Amino acid sequence: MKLRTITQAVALTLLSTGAAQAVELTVNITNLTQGMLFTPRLLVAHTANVDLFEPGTTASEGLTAIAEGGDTGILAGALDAEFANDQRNQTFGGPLAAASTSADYIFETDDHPYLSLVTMLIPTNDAFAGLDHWVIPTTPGTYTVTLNAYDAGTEANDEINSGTSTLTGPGGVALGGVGVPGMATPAPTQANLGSGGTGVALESVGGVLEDSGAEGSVHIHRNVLGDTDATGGRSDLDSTVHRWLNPVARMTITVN
Amino acid sequence: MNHVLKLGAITLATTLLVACSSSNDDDNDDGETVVSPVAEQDAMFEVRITNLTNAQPLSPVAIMLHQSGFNSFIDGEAASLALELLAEGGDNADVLGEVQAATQHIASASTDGPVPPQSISDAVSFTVPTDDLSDVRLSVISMLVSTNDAFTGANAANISNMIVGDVVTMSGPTWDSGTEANTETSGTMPGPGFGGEGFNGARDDILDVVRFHGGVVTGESAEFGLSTSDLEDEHRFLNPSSRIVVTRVQ
Repeated sequence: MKLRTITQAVALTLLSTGAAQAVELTVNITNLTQGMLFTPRLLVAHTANVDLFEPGTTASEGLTAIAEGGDTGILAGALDAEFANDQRNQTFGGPLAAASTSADYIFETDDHPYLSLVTMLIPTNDAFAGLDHWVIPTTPGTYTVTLNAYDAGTEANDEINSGTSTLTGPGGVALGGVGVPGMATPAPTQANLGSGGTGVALESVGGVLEDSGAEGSVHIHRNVLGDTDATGGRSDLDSTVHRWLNPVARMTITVN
Repeated sequence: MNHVLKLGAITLATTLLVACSSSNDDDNDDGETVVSPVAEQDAMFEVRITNLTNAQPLSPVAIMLHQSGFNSFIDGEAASLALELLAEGGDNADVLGEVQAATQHIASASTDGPVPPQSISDAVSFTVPTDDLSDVRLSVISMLVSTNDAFTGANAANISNMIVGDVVTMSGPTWDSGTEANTETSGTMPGPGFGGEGFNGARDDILDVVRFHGGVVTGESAEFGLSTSDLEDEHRFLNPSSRIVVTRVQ
């Protein structure tokens, strides 16, 4: 195995003269929560000037798309356009169920020194688990890091099930998309969700959730509340299922 | 796999012993000084647990030193019956029994009793043969007593190659063993606070796998709380719920 890796590295060096030496990582991630799914994971190796998110500052358009809808394409595209030589990114996997561990991902870092990762927690309004500027060790070995849950600060935590709610966003817009109220609640998340809630951080008025979309900056998520009323109450989340305590994820990273 | 590793270690140790004894023979023949016994002295570790919670007693703590390849539990997998006994009822006998039966076992013991909230346990001492120092893992398990099946501790944390005087401090998160529904009713939580049932073989949680605990909901909030809960504000906790301090004293 080790011999094969070395052979590959040598081959790559010979083929691409002048390119940085490739460092290969084997990465997996464990969802430590009992009630949240993780959307596909955007994994990025990068230099110090590249930042997927920065607590205390507002989220980028790309981070917003991940945190509200699990879509990594916009952030990946922006990174490739702006930092073609300063980062390498790749999106891994499908939905990762609560209390489960992903497959092993093989990831070439292009010898960039830092590793970051972002994945949305569903069902939430705009929660994500993040790894921020982790220094990739130069010594081969297996390393373990844990990830906290952040709030992107881009959407009020109304905790409304957009898949079943009869409420609408401003102007009658359907709930659940990026930039509109309501949680992302795709099919696998519906099993534990309630319906008929009126809203937590933001309450509906006349059947409308008037979210301005300007909640604030990225910060550590204060956790969801939920309630135990499956057909009403304020929240469509279940307080006995969906809450978490940090950390919410563990990554095992092997430097090959 | 585990057995292969352990057998390898035994073979290696035996080889070293054989080599030592033959070289000692040579030494004796040549009349040279016998190697100082101090070099072969066992290592000693002390382990202390701090209960960082506000009002959750920690059950008598199972403290286990073992080689890699052994785990009392794995996140995302169903709990063993031994772990269920500890996480639901605070009884650590079977968890200790499991590690003591494992080929990877080095040393293990329980604290004398529970560790009250906001307090530090007495130190528990362990002897580790120096030959084992290159691969020492620490596992610690203790129940948060005023819960259905929450526990804290460490899962095979690497404490290999500590030198005398080294201190390693780690933070213990809170797991949910997944073996009992978190009803938070007094009849289902053991110990001084509620005196309810501890272990019950039924597995009625929403997921029958070990994962991190989401915290107790409590009945404090009419709107967002759990109306059947007998837990109160004081029983809430955030991670970490425990601190584990390991000191190599010899």
